[in-house]
Amino acid sequence: MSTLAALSAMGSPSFWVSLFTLIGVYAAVTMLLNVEAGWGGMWDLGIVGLLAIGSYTYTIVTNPPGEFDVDLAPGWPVWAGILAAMVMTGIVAFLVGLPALRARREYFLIITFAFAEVFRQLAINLRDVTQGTVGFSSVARPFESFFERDALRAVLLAVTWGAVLLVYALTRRISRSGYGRALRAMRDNEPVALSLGIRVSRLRLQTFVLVGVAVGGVAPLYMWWLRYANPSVFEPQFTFTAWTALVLGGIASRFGAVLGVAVLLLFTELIELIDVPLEFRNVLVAVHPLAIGLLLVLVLRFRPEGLLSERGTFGERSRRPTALDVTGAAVAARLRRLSPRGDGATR
Amino acid sequence: MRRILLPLVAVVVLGGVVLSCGDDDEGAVKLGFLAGLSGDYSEWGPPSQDGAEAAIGVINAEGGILGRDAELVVQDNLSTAEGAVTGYNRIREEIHALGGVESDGAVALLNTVAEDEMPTMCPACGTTVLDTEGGNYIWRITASDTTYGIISAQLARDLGYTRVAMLVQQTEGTESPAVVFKDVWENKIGGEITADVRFQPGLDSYQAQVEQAFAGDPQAVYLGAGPQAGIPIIREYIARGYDATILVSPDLQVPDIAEAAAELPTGTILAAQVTDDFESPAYTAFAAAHQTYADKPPPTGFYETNQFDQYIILALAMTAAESTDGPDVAAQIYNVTNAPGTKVYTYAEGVAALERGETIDYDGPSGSIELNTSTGNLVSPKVAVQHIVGGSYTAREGVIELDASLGR
Repeated sequence: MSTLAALSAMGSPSFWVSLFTLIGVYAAVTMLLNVEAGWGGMWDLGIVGLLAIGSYTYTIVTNPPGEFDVDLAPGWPVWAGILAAMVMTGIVAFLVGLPALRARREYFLIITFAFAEVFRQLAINLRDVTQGTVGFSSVARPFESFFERDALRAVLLAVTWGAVLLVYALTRRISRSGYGRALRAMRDNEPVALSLGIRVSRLRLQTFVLVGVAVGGVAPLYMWWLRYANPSVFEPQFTFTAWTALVLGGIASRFGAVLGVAVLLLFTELIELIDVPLEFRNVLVAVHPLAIGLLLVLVLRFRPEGLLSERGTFGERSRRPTALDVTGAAVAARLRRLSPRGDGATR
Repeated sequence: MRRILLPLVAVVVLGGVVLSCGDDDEGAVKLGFLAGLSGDYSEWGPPSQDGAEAAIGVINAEGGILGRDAELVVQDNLSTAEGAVTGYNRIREEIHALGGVESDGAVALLNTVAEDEMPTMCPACGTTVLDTEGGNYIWRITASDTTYGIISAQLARDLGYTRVAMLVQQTEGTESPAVVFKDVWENKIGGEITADVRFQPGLDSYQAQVEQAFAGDPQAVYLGAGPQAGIPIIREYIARGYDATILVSPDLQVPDIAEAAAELPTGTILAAQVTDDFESPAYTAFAAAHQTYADKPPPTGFYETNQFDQYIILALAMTAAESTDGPDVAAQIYNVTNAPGTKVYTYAEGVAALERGETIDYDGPSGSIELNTSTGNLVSPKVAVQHIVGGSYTAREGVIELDASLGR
């Protein structure tokens, strides 16, 4: 209870409920980003685009008919909206993935970034469907008729963290499966992965679509929290925050994404909660991004792999690679020894 | 892992069920100021805060609210909807009313403040969403984007133009009046749009967009943009030697734009901007308060008078209600701003009249504050024309009466 008392002294309970709900949303998205970027080596800089697809799909299909001046408002129930968001993001991820996944590293990064921006432009210009730059000022939320205001916020917090646990369970399962090992092997050395019989193109597309579907499931949680769908919400800042948290927490670490998000957002909020005289509020605002940058520099200076590491997650520090071990690090280590230049390069 | 995860979840869930703090009747009356101190709106942040602090200074100098000190609780919303939601949740349980909110934040918080019964003032929101959605717990005390769109079209018509091009940034605050402008210009006035060019902010160059906009030889160009895009566009306009008049949106009525256009002849850039009532005793009192509490004379064009007025209105409503509870305050907003009632121009006059048992009709430095009781919007916002002379916007000249036939 002392923790609660300390938190309450720094902010109201409803503030912490709201903040931890947001942390939950970011944590879920960042864990999914970790699957494709951390383990799969697919540097996705457009994950906010998938979130936008899911958010808009959910908001549009659950809008009551007549509430907004749009062509499409079927007024589906919340559960159908969630399913629709997952299906739609899955389809879009498939369609985007087909051409994008032919590219690697920074090229893939640029394509996914462009995709997110293209979608934002569509959201701006398809006014009859999305209400353009005005957006949607209300979003259907579950349990509204069952709980009063504060209780509903707590319930949605619990639902969000239930989703976080689900995503965590999914990523945990992936990390321990042959699928996860194949992902990491593909990331570390694609030619070797191919030689081991891993169907790299298919694996990349599968992963991209899987992440898309899951982000579609998370998107309604974001909408329940924000209660506003507008193109300005889906600017690249969301992606940058998720990436910053991932780097901070430890890329390819299983729990690092959650830890990174929690540290980043809590640190951000704690700065805001510092009680300064009014005339210094502007100074505090200016110090804000500087402090976050400093935090990142300090963490990376003393823990270059992030707060948690891939080696910690997969327990690779204490064991030597065996002949049958095809985990990414093991394959890379073996390649380094075999390569003539000692850098794992193959021809 | 469980050792980390379980306590984290426990803290989260327990946090949700802890009872909220009660209202401290003996403490200060806390008034939230949630605005963009960083991000896109940061240019408006400090002058807006000065206006808000001047209001709090005046209120406290006159004995506070119901005998309690007024306290401004400042929160940055990062100029984003997400920042507005986070910022509001940070202060919602400690404040009695909220002010300073901008368009994105107002729309994002529209339902939340109503559920929280939190009286909320929008001193600088143009969003068309509030044309119909306010009035219960959210009020707008400035002109809407709809008004700006109509007035800009009316201005172009009155200048005798028939051919206008549009060059518009695709963000909510800039597109919103542009959509109205285009509708009124084409459908009500019967004017021609020679080009309708839309663009995203943050481009390296706007040469292609400027080229497209001016290609049809328009007599005027409606430029809807933020300062970051507006400055390079105006420089491009100067470099190419165009001479069409530029009608700028409210976001461009800032000093940086005036400096960028310093070498242009007077009248090249016209701005229709909501104007303060400089002649009223309320403005004189506001200017003195601004000098006292912000230690400088008030600027113009930063909604500083609207920021000031919102807290005076809230404080008067609390005084009239003899309560700081949201529903009580909300019920008194129209009673202190709308006729009939004793006309008052300052907080002191308002409190004195209320203590005499009179109803009051407050008009502040931003002008007449008569609110539509259905929508919570100003009934007749005052808009005037500004020019750029020698690198500065002129004081607003000639109030434009809105042509009722152009209303949508």
